[in-house]
Amino acid sequence: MFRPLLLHALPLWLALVVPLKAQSEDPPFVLPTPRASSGVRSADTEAALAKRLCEAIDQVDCTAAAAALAAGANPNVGMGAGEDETKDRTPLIHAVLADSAPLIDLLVAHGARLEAGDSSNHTPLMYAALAKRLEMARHLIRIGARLDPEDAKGVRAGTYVEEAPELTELFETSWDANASFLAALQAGDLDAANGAIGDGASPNANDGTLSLLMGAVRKGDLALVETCIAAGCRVDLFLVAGFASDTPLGVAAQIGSLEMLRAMLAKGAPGRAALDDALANAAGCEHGDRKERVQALLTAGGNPAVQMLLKTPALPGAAARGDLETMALLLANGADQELADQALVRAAGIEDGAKAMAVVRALLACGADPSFSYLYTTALGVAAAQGRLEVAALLIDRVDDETLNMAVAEAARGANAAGLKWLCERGGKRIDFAVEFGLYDPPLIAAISGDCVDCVAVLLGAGADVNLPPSLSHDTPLITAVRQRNLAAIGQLLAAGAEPARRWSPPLREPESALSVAEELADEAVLALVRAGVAPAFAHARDPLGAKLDAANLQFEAVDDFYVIRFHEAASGRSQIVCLGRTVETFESLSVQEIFSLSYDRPEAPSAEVLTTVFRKRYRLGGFVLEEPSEEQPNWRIRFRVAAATAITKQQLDAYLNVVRSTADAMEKELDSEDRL
Amino acid sequence: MIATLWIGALAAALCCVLQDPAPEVEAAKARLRTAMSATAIAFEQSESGLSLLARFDHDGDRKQTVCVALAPNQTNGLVCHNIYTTVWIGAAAAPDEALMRRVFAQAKKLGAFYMLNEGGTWAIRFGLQFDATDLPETLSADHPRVKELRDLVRFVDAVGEETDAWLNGANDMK
Repeated sequence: MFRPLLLHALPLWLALVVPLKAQSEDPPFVLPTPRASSGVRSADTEAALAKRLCEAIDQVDCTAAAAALAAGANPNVGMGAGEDETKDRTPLIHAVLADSAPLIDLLVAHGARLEAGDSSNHTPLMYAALAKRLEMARHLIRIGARLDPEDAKGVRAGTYVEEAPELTELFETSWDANASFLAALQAGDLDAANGAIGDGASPNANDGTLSLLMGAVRKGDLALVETCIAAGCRVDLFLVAGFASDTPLGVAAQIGSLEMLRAMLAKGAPGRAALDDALANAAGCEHGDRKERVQALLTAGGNPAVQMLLKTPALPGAAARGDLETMALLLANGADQELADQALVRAAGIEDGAKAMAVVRALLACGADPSFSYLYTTALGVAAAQGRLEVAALLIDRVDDETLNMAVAEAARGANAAGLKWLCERGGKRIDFAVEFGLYDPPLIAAISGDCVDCVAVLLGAGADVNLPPSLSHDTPLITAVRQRNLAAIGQLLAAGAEPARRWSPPLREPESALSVAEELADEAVLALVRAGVAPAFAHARDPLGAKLDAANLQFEAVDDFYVIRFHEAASGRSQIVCLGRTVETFESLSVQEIFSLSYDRPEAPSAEVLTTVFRKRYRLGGFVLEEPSEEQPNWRIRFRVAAATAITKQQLDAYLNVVRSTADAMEKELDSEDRL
Repeated sequence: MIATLWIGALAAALCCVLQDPAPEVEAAKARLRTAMSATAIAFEQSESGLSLLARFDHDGDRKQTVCVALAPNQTNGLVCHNIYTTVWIGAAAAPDEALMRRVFAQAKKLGAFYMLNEGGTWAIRFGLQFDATDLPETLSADHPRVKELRDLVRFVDAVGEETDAWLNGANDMK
């Protein structure tokens, strides 16, 4: 009966299994091998290039300046010349002082910012005003230099004009015309703005976000775009507001039509910096003609190997779209290894699982590094954080342990409990839950901060230390939960053995416990939960005297297997540390915990005389023990100890502690009058 | 005047000498005897009357004597009795440095080793204290404090015999 059914079902099984198998065994899409990365230049090299560029500008040598830029000189970094108020002059300022418009144009084409100033925020236009360079000022205003920026003293460029009537008139006329122009732009009246150009406004007047051409591009008005370009509007003008910067060309590459982009490339003669910027935008755009846009920009001279601050480069942008054809085009035109590695990180997070798999497989096949991390973000971590477990499975055995640890932290930050659980199960003993990367917290802290209850449970179940010590950048898990008033996490951590009364000594901060932090917060719900956790925590550790120590309101801190109580006698000025062992020792019905304090703690062994002095004494309670150097500690030690029955009362415990303290201190004093312990 | 003062002081001193031992000390001794009796450990009083002696037999006809001091030690409100056993005796020579290091570095769960010189004879003992604070006057065999005392005595015996064999070999201290 079963066999016929099985035979009958076999074709269906084959139909289901074979395509899946075939899909997984399909050869990956073939991508060109990335070019080797040039690597990061040293600060010395950067400084040498800046010097080379500025000296070429000072000598008004356009060829040498172009060569310096081609060699990688940053068009916005000068060489620190000038007095205190004028140091760190940019290359553009050098060009203004050299009075060379061609140099200005060269630098601007390479991405020099017109508003970038020296260390006192003196812009190139302010230098032109100070130096009374009428034509230079006119040129700067025409290509988009703004009149409104203020220097460190709140002074604008026009204020620096003295005894130069024509220059004064230029600034006053331009100020008024540009103001009308910008008002029209802000009102969305592009025609009025276009008309203001005839009244003396700069065609490139802008407020950092708006320009006439940018408005035309955003409006999608190709005719107006062409009119603006004909009127002198720059397609490569960088509008800079804070850290954000855009050019009309870049915006067209991203949201305009392909026709508009081609028209701007043909008629606008963009500089290379704007081309590179637009290429990155085009590669990551959502249009179906992405590849054509990229091809147009590559043909115009765009460089796919360029990386710009706060901008996703072209190859990772295309990878995020899952566009293998465009990626192939970019790699064939010079996208390098580091960009392929970044692309892998982006591809791992593609929402469409099949597409993600295809791109990740293609990138791995062309040599992308699965252990690459970018700002502590990894392909494996992105895949796990976004629940792309099939992609994660492709990566996990290829990454090194450091990358795996980063991925665990990312998944915790991403609050994806399923991905985190998968990583923990597959990573097993390779994972170090205590490691932290950069400013990012270890996984358990990140999960608590992210209020991901499931992630906290996964991490605790996988072996993350519930009593992870604090560091410079984070608290213990329980203190983190207390500070965040995260009641669910507090409950989870206490149940897992977090110690609410344990006092920690974080670097550069006062010692604290979760209990003391909760008391400071004065949040009743948090405080009640933490207080309720104090007794169970000690019970959990089977440590009766620890519980009595806490109940006796003694100040102590838990260090490894001991509670450390610090005594200070005001009258004598002497201090002594007494330790209560947390381990309960048993013999028949006896159940004891050790209380001890050191009287001798030195690298050299105690002499026979010292031993005789110490071990000839008899005490009403307790006695001395000699401790030889060991792996745990390098010194010879003599400690006074008492084995206290766990059943003693709080008052007896207090008496034991005092006996141990005073006896150990008295012996220390007898052996060496200096109070070392 | 001076003579009167001197006579007064002498009378006071005589009163002190003739006065009965402190009643609390005697009471502590009595409570300890009661507790020891309840342990079912066989014991006898030492010749000096200062201690109760419990003698233990071990394999190979080895023996170990544990002494329980009757007089209590009083410190910080605690009432404790010493329990000790001798593990080494040197005829006239003090233990050398190597021996001291060997013995005093032995950390047991409870108690400690110490040395003494009595009448020119050096000895090393192992001892600990029974905390008899608030020990009841009447005690049954299954009282926790009785069990505690019994096991402390046994522990001292066990460590004593073990150390005796380790230090003295066949020359049992008994």
